[in-house]
Amino acid sequence: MRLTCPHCGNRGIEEFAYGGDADRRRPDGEPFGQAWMDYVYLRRNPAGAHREWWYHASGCRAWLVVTRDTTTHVVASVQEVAR
Amino acid sequence: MDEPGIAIVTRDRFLASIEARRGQAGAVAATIAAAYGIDLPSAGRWAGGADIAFAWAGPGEWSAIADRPIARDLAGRLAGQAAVTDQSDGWHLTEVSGLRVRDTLAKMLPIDLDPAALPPGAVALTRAGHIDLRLRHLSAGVYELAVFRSLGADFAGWLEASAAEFR
Amino acid sequence: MTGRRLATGGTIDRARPIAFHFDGQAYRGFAGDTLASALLGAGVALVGRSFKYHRPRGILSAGPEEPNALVELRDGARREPNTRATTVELHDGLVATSQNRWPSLRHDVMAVNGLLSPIFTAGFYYKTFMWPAAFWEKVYEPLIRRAAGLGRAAAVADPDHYEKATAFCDVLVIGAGPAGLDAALVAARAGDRVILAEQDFVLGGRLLSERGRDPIAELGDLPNLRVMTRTTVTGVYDGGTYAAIERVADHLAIPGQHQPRQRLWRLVARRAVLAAGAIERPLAFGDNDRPGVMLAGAVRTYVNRFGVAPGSRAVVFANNDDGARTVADLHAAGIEVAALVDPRPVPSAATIAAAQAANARLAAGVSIQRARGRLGVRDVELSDGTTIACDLVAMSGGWNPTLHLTSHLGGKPRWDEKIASFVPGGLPPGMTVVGAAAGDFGSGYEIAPLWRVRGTRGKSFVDFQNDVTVDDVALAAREGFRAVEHLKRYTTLGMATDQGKTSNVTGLAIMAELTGRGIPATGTTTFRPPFTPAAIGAFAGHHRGRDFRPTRRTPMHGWAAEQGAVFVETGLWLRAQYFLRPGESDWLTATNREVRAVREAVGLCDVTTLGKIDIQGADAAEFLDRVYVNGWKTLPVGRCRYGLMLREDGFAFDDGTTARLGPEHFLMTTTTANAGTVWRHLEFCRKVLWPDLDVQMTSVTEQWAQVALAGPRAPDVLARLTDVSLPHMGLAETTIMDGIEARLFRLSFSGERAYEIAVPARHGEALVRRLMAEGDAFGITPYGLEAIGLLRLEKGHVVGSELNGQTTAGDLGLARMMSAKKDFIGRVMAGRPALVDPERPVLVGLKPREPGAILAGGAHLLPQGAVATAANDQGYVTSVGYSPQLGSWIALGLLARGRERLGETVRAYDPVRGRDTPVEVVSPVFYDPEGSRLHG
Repeated sequence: MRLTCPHCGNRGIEEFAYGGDADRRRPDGEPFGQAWMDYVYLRRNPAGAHREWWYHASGCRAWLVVTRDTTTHVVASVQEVAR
Repeated sequence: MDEPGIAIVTRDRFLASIEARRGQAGAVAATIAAAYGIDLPSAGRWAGGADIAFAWAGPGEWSAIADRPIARDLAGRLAGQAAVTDQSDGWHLTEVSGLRVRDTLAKMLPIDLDPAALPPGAVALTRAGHIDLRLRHLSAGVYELAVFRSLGADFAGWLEASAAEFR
Repeated sequence: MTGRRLATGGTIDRARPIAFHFDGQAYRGFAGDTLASALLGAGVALVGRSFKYHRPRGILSAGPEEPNALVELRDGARREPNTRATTVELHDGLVATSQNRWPSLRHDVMAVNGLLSPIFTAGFYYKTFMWPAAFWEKVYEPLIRRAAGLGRAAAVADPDHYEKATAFCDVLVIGAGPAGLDAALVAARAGDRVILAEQDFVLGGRLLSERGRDPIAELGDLPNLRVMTRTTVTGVYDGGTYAAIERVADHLAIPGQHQPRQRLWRLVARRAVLAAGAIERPLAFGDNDRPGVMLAGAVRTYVNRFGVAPGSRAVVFANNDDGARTVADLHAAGIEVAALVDPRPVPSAATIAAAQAANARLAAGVSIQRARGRLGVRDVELSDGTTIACDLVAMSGGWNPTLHLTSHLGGKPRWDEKIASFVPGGLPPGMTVVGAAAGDFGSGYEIAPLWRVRGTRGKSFVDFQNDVTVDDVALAAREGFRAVEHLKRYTTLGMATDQGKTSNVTGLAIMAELTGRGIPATGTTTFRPPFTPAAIGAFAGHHRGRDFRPTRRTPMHGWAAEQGAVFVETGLWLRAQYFLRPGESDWLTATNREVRAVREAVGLCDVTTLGKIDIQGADAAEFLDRVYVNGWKTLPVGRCRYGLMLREDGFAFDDGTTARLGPEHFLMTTTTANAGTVWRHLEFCRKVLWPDLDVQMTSVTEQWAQVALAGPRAPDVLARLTDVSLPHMGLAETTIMDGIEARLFRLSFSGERAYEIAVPARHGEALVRRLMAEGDAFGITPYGLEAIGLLRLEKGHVVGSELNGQTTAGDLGLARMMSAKKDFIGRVMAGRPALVDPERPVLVGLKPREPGAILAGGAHLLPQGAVATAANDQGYVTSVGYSPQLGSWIALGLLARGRERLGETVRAYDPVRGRDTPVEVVSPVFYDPEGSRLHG
């Protein structure tokens, strides 16, 4: 698989580290409960489009949001996490 | 004399990392331009010369590469604008060139080395096997490779093995 | 069969004879030959024995699809089994040996298997060797492996080296036959960067094999066209990535100096053109595996490309117009064609004309029933009752497009009635298929499918390599193994080195006939990489043995080696485990001496490998507050503090000291093992979770060499270098040794007065040498990881064995560090019920009741008198060591309600080592619990 980093260009997957579901939001300020369990443990694992974090570990060290079809590995978009 | 198949030289330079504070990238660029007459390069580029150069090192980050100690001077000029750390001892620098330099590097690097994709003036942050690496295309066919100091001996051995058939 | 070299013709270089050996016998071929063509040219027809029945086998094909002619190539350490004689390029000094026969190829005692063939049917292994289970590994498997086998791998390490490399292009053309050459030229002339990969050692593909075709189109000198011969594209991967094996030196007896034997290419292509041609199908008639029965297209290859007559009197058997072409080429080469056997009642006009021109009998509407002759075909029996003498049978059951690569990403081939074959269905993104690979066999191609000849005697082989017959397929159908994937597993059809390149379609077509489902509904098995067998060495490349992964060395590595250091890998780093003095032979003696030196005098240790992260910014302290459990805003400049990080799930993650260098400037240390993980975690925190914070981070692990100086005389040694004096947990930035920039820390993990001194890495070695010289008078002693572990253990400081991902701050006795005044990573989840359960095992010290008893990590902790069951398990031993100060083995462990049980005796139960040791539960701080030595 290859990802087109918005800074570095098209690179092989070995430069990147997977960071999981990018639609998770840390339930800041909430007490322990379902929201925290979901944030830490629950993953949707859809068959199809999936927004996910990738870290360009061996490149520019940007955290990226990749939209990937989990059934075909076709990458629809790669964007930098808003900074 | 004919150009050799491959030439490998170790370099000792003074390095510093620069990371702009939040929202200060413009100010950092202005300071560098005023102090050194160099426009900070955009993604995938380096600028400057043999005495002092700045290489892009990620969003809002640059590496300074100089022939004299640079970190203290930079830290002073960029106080409040950027975090500056001395990295002069952190990296193992190698300069490679020669007719077969790209054939050699193709055995180690997973990036497109074609001059159309990576011309002189380009910087690539990538990896050689499991070794993170920063490449600068200095001038046509002359590349500077920077890896962490602790991996220098290991990397040099692999580079030598990859180059051996072109010696 | 009596093959011979024709007087003229072919692309071989007759001026360059090449000497080679097969089964110990010397032969000669020519430059441009394959091993197969050279053997045929030398009159050798018998090349191997079959997998199961040990039947004599010759050469079936002229390409990578070869199922029969598998040989061991080279000898000694370079011996390579199962190489296909049809793709081995002939070279001087080539040595090949037939395999799977004993004592010789002509007289193979295992051929008795052929007589037992009624029991060697499909599913034989599963039915016969089921019981008793223990026999499988010890008796049956070795027996089967010996009897039914392929070649032998070399028993010693491969002396050659392999490489990996990457190349990029706009267009990758796979196959340099007519369609591929065309595609490459068109793309290159349009200015695209093109790679043309061809598995053969010359370009041309079928052009080389067909009479009257220009062997090589002129490629010209196009700088943007890279031609890679001897290069097989073996796999297709996501994102336009292709794997290819380049056989750099397989055509040499020994690779040139510094030359790799093979190179594994990763080719990255925007588009790919698959022009891999087609593979011919055998016909299934009785004893169709006799040496001398060959694919018709291969016969043309040997005649036209190699100038070899594979026989002197041929019968051609074809259900398509390949028959006519073969008859014409044999006739043109002066080889007698006895008959053209065509099962079609009304053969095409071309077929009739070819037979007439060659004076061959045209047997229309007729099939070969059986070939006869044991070590080589002698004659054939036809379905019309006649028998024709011949030493060569050229057969064609039609052609299959070589579409394997189209389905590596899941594309499903589609059945095309018109050519009676599968053609590419869904394609990998960016791939186009052209020529024969796309099912384009030219306008004249007509075929009447014939999947098996009925009413035959003898075995009708479908899969030559695995000895699978028409009867085996029928048996699988009867026994319910009707799905193609079941058919494959039950009969082994399509397994092993050729992966069914000549057999799959015939096998599934027969299954379709038997079940009446039709071929499209039956479908094909899945094609997976690699397309042809690949050497494991190519996948390892440079990274084998010592180079399996990179090694990190500290600037003091050479000094440590001089001092007798025995190194151990911690992550990628090499660290000194202990230092052997002359006369010492074991780690415990050395470690005890090192520990004593620290407790009684002064020790020196290289701690460069600890992760060091420079953290700056207006929000640096806030950032630390959020990632550590404890608070940082109150830490004064010039001071250090011990910090503990949790993971977001509430478990302990990493620990270390962080120093405040300035109001907005910190220096964090991490454990050596977690440095990379912690870095990534912090990057996630600052860039994804809290992008609004002003925080800059740089790793300075490599910039600074760092040495720990510990022991009662440590201040004396330090005083020789600097007059700076530090409070406990103090930090100073200064210069030492004539102006070298240095950072001094007063930190201790051993319970002794201790310092850490950091200098720029290039000065690291000079620093240790200076410290050793200055410390000589005080008895300074280098110590390693074993001593560090013991010194920490004596003080109850947790290490990696306790920070094992399953312990909480509370478990480790660090609950008080957790600030209640702020949020931090892991705070909420650390408070969930399961993590604050009072029954959780917590950190305790353990000391054997009997002096001298040895403890070991991993031992289970059980109440005294309790049965050793999981239900009674109350925890386990995490760290152990021998304390020379206490004269006893000591341990840390996690024990349920441990803090309430000090003084109690429990069992350290270690069934692995056969130990059951009564131990006393004690405080984890074994040594100097008052901390008097630290401040004294």
